[in-house]
Amino acid sequence: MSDYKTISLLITALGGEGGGTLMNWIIDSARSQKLFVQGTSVPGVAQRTGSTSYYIEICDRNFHNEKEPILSLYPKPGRVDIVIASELLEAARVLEKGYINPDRTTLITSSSRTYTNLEKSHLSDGRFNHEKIINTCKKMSKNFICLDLNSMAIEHSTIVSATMFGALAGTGILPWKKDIYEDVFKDNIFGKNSLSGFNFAYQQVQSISDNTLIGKTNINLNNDSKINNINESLSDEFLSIINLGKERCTDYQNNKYSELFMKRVNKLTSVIDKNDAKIISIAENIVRRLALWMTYEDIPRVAQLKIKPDRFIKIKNEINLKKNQIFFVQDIFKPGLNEIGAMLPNKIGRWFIRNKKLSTLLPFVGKGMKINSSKISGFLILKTLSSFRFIRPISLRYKEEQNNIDKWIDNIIISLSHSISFSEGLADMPQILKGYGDTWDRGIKKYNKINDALIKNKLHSIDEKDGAILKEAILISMNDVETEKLDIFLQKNLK
Amino acid sequence: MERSFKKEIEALKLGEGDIFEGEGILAVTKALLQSGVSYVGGYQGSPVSNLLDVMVQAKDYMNELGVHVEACANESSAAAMLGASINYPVRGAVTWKSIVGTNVASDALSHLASVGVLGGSLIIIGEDYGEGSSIIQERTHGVALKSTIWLMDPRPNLEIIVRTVHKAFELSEYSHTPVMMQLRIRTCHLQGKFITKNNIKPKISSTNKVEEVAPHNYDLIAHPPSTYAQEKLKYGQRAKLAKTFISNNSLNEFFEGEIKEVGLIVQGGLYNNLISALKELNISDSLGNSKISIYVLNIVHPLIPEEVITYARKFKAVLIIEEGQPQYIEQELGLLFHKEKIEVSLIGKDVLPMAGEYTTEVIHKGVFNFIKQYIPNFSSFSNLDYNIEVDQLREKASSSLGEIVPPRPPGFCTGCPERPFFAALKMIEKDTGKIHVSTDIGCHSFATFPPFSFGQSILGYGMSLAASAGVQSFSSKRPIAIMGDGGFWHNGLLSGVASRLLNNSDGILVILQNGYTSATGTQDLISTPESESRKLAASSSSTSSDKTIEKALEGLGVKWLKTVHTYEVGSVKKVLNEALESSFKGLKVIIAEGECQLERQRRLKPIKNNAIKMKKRFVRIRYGVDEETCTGDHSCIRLSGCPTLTVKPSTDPLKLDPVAHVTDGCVGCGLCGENAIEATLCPSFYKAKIINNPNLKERSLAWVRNKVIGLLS
Repeated sequence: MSDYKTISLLITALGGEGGGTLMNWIIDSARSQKLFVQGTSVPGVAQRTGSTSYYIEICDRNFHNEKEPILSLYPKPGRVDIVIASELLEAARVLEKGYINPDRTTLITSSSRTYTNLEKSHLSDGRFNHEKIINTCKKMSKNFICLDLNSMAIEHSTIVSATMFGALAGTGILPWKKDIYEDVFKDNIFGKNSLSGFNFAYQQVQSISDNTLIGKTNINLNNDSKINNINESLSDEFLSIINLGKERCTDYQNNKYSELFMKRVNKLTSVIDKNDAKIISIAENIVRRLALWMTYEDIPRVAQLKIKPDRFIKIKNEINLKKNQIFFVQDIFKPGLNEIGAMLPNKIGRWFIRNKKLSTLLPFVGKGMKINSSKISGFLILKTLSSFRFIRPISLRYKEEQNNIDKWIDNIIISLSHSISFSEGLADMPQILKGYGDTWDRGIKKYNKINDALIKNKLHSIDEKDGAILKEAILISMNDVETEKLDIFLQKNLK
Repeated sequence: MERSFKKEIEALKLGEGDIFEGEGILAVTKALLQSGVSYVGGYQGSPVSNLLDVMVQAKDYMNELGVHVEACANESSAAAMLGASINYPVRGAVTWKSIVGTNVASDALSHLASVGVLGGSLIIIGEDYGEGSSIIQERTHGVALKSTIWLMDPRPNLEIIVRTVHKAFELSEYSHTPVMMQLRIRTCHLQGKFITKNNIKPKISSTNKVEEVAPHNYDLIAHPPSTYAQEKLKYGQRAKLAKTFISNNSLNEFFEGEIKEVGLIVQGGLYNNLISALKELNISDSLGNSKISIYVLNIVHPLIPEEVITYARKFKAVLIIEEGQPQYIEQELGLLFHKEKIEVSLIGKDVLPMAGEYTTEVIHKGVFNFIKQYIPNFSSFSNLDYNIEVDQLREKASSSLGEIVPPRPPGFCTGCPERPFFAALKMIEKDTGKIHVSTDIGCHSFATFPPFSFGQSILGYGMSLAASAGVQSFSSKRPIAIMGDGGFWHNGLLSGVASRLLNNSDGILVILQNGYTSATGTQDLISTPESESRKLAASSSSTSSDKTIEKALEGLGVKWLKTVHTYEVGSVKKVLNEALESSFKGLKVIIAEGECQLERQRRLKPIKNNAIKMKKRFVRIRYGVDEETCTGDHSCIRLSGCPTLTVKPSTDPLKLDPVAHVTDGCVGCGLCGENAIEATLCPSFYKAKIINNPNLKERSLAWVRNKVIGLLS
């Protein structure tokens, strides 16, 4: 019935990112081409970091002195031509709502993630599956363009709207040329940066041949040195994990300590079937967690890590230090009574923790301490603290931890002959032990609860069903800070 | 407010035949000036904040025109402003967010409507309903009905909206009745265009003052016995005049279609959505040439019985597309058809949902089910598969994603001064157990979302203390009421504080003083720091310089009053504990001050740019996390929720869980460090002080330190 076409465009972004700016740029460009255009949005309070959306319809001509088309204020599911997302999960949200149609929609999204509070608050890993979003995007869109638009924006000191705008221009879908897009930056004080971000994203999209480009992070495992005492039949990956653990223990304490690590590893690898992929993957997990547990972070360890020369290089990179800048680092500590007692020799440590009054004599106990690690005095304090590691083997905590570790390894070895699933759960148990101070105390509490209810004295009668229960218990304790739900669950499944 | 509306102000000055291109709410602002308003007032709130913000900033131009602009303390004072048009032939307009603002204004509105007006009185309502809304879901329609205020609901098209503003003033004057114009969220933010007219300087104005006071006329006072006569006037003469005006000026629109069986009646504001839905059904083209007849109600109250009857008589059935509940229009039409014995099936909420926003998709479903029932051969011309297609798209996407996409509600900005307060409260609850928290409206409402999840109730803007009065009486542990400085001045001072003092009762009130009504766009308050203090504070917090709230409370007789800086989490904890445990039985008020970070960052920007340009010394603080010492428990995040405190994959192959990470967006508010100490978190956080263009002394000292530390390690 009508003699013109419209292009519909949905922008989705987080509040404060400049989605409205992008909408206005697109509208300005269309207006400069004398095309009839309409746009609207629902930012409201969502402008404070919530998810927001902007919707535009552009006609392929103008309506001068004639009846103007009635354009929609809402995107229609399945009828959107272009979707631009500033963040990957927001692309998923648009997918979920049915706006993306494989016969019609060009989907441009940043591959970057800004995690929601629910995802990042999780006690272990609550992140939405990245791959699943990418796969769904590929499957559900006509054209799919996925670039890290956020990093590009940072690199060019501009906002993500500029790189989103560049990526949009790069697709060539809208009926105007590149220089028209560029015009919006002319009157802008930050125009130069925006323009360079715009151009970069534009070129990236233009140079994509198969129209998908996804940045991948590869974790390089250290594979250099040979490992002794280990059965040669283990895979390279497994060996490299063992090697890493060994090195870490040496760094943590000394060679003798890394031998203790290897002794525990050998104890484990000597009883497992090295051809069973499932068992191997459990064993890998055990070795990983063993290395982390053995290098538990007490005051000397933290101090040692804080003054490593490569730490300052890392910080320099992280804060992106430039030529005309210098920087200072201040570390924030709050050593509690228990932590100080834990690093003292066994008996002194116990006495110290018992005599709470003593702590009032030491001004830093239970108080916040700010140490300037990049100043000489601060550095020396940390250096002194780190040297307490030499008496670690006779410290209070050392004894406790080694006992628990041995018990854990022994339990796993028994469990491996009864139930794979239960062993899998057991391997994950140290995951519950995390952090310092209150966090650590909370973890220990949960660990002991599960241990008492499901593991202790029960290992010889376990089956696969018990494995599922153990895993569920671990999951519950990782999903919730409080122990209420865990208590109820354990009560119900008490053996 | 530091945001600049320079470009928007220029658009207000456009003259005869120019083209205005911009946002809906600004088009309304321009239309007010074209109508010759004498005064404008209002209270901020999405989606109408910009109307007032722009006018306040365009002070010089408004003075030139003689238009008085008032940023009112609440909607009640805005509504009462319209009283000027009772006695004088002046046009006035006020604006606020509805339904909440209308509720606050309703006392003044009732009185205004009872008396009636001489000069045109227009209330511009931001109907904050549906997706993106931040308030309770109610219709303004009910208020218009009960107070006899005419309600316009124009088509979302700038040309039409501007015309409606002009007509609204005429209607108001012709019928001596105040008029409301409701604009939905998407309409307020609608980017479109219209051809402008010259602005009109009002005849009576701040530059052209009246010499004579209006005579005392008891008929114009909302007090008995006048009120009895006024009620008769409302339903009699004024309603009749309004209907005549609306019908003579063809304010409602008829679009005739070829289909004979059925007709549609739609609220003007939903017209575009309807056309979009009809397009999907192959019933209309984009120009609005529809096969089904449409009667567009640009005025939803009063309805014009003659128009409706003539229209309805033609059809077997009519569908009324009316958003929200109760379905007032449907009820009125039903009664009218019944009384007039019109043989037509009236369909409405039978095929459309009772509650919720009428998006294109919702209207499509409703119209589809309607025509299926009443047009026998509908399948010969209509598209039947759209709903199935959409369901399949969603099903396919959801199953491929595997889980439900987690919600992303709004939250505190990076470096927000309110976040540390809630972190402190969360820590305190670990020792005291759960505390009953009455929350309020404002940015701090975001503390109701994870990771804080605080609050047992929200009862309105500035209502938290009043809302905890009853709870206080039967709780063994003291409840806490939290409100912002915005809420305090809007209502909390009287409804909460004065009431508590009057009764000599116990209670804890926390006022989060960030210096502005930040959630609505950082508008100024009576307690906003003086611009001189803000300048002095540069990019640091300046709220401690203003003592208006303290003085007001002391003046009222508050005996227990403590002020604390929110970023000092330890001090906040201490003062909260004191209030909870105090033996003092009266009202305890804690003012937790810390300036809105948005404003601070806006001030910082030019300072920083200048320093970089001039190669001057400039210090930046940011925080970071040492990956090696982070164990991935994320308890720091659960006490913060800061956008820049997030997670990233660990680069340590032994660690599988993501580690905490501070992005470069960090503004160095210091909460991470405070939390690490106060909650005994972990020693992973570091504070980095980055000095741009350091002086020679700093340079040499840094060099020496590096050398010495290099040797020592």
